[in-house]
Amino acid sequence: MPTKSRSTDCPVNDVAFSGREQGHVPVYAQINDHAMFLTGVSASRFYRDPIAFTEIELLVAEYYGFDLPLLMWDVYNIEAEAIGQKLKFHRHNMPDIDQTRPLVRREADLDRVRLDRPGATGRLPQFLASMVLYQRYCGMEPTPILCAPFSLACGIRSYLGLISDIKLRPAFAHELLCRICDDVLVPWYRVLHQTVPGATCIVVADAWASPPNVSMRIFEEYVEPYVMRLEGAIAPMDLHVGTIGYWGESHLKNPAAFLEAKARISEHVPLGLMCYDPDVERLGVKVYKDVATAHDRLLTLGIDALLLRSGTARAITQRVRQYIRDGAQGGRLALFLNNLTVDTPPSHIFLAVAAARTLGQYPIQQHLDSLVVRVPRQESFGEFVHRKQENNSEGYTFAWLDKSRFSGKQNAIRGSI
Amino acid sequence: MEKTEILGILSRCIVDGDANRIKIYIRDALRMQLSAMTILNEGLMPGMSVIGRQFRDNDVYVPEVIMAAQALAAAVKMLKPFLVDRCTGNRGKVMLATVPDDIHDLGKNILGIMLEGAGFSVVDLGVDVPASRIVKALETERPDILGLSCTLTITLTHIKEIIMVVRQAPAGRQVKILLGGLSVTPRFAKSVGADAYGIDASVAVQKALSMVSGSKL
Repeated sequence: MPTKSRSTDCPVNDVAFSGREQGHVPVYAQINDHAMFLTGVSASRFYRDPIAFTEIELLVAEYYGFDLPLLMWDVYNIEAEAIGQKLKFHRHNMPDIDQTRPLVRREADLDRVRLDRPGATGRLPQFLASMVLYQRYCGMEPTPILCAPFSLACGIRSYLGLISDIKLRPAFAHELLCRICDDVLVPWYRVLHQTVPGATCIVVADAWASPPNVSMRIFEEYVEPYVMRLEGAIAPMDLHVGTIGYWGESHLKNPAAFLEAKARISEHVPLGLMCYDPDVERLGVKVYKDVATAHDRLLTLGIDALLLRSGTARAITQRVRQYIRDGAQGGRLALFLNNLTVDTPPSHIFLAVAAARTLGQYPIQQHLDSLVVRVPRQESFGEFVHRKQENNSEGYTFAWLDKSRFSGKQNAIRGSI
Repeated sequence: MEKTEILGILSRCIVDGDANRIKIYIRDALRMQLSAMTILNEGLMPGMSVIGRQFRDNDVYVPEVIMAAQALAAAVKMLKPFLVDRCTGNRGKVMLATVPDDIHDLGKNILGIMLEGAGFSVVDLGVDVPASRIVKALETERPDILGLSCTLTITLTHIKEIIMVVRQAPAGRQVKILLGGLSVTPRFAKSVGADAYGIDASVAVQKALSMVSGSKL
């Protein structure tokens, strides 16, 4: 985990994530499409150009005052594309796998599940470049976030295909997952490790393996063992793997059992045990805090993207207050803003950050209701970019500005968005 | 075998998601001179109701619903020649589409199968469908219901845009709009002016039936 972000110059990173009850409850976010929209850079460039992607993600994280800048590429697509899976690129949103045209259609296609030139195909080179840029700009080690075996299997076989395999051809499903681990992910992680040896954990997202997409039985047989298989293969490199992205525990009769399993395979994730709305809101924070405490883990609670997009200021503040009140006692809490949409009003994001700063100041006050959250007056993103250009301590290239909404419009920069 | 026994077995095949066994018993049921409508309404759909209920109660998960829907699809395919011109589509016509930039179609496909099973004629426009194509299809197909599916939160904004465009088009003024998909909530559906929201395929079918019968949603 980073010790200090030069980009955000935020000293709480090494404190709050380490578990000490100091500073304030940190807040960070998944911002891809929102960040792209703020700059007006096209999706085809944003998701292909490591300089544009990295600089924009870091600038937007700093603009909103997030405590941890994260580079979350379109995580479910990177390895799938590298072995030949077709993606669909959209104009305004992140690319997605076309599940109607899976790479693995029949048994013979299993031979396509291998990475012939690790790090050299698809957008793996861009991914690696962005990791190096992150180190350079932030002065700290990146946390690579990629795709977990089960979700990758859903990507290249389609969810429908994989579920049919599990139900009707279980040996085939296991063979597919073995090949994904041994012939795709492990060789790729080796190259990743050579490029950024300081990154000690590869975080893999696995939203497909969430209830009700899967049952506990499927999770225990087809999800968890393959994360452990990866862990076993890369442990000799002093490298670990850990999972994020599981949601849906509110669909289970025994959510705690799922959370236990989730905690087991996210042991090394520096972001802790990540849990998200709407499940957290439905089940309440206690069940999550109990599991995180039992495993001596940081708990990250993800706040509903729809609430952040269209909720009232009162509702957003109340959600932050509730999660801090119920989750921050004893420290080890972080807040995560779930995948921000392009049209989430920046004022809502600033409000969520301000609420976390005010209400999440350690030691946590007993009467949080009496604390007033004030959002400082914010400059526009255009003004911020202009200011950063004039005081460019990170050494950003701003090479993407020519294709942004600010291109050739110095005046527009100051007044826009 | 008695009529009630074979209909019970067919229902069980749906609940078990057993597409192979269901084909055998559909053949048997037809040999027993049971009408396709009886097989559908008294054998297959009760099975789907059970699965729908179990899904709502968190007793089964999406994989079981998928297998049940695949069994239903296999059965409906066998029954279709006996249903044509007599009962398919007699409930009305539903046009389905997934919003632009969203290429997830699992829920929509399950709904399509279940709507057909419930007696609707279904026109599926597929995934990543722009508003202009929806409006054009509304003019030619004249459906009773437009079902829009959206899985990703980041593509929700397109629903609002589509509904605005549809409502402005002459062919879209009267069509009932039914929303579904992982990212949609009842509150969101109401806020964008949809007529109904289905939290899952089973509920969506009930909403569609209410829409065409004019009963309260």
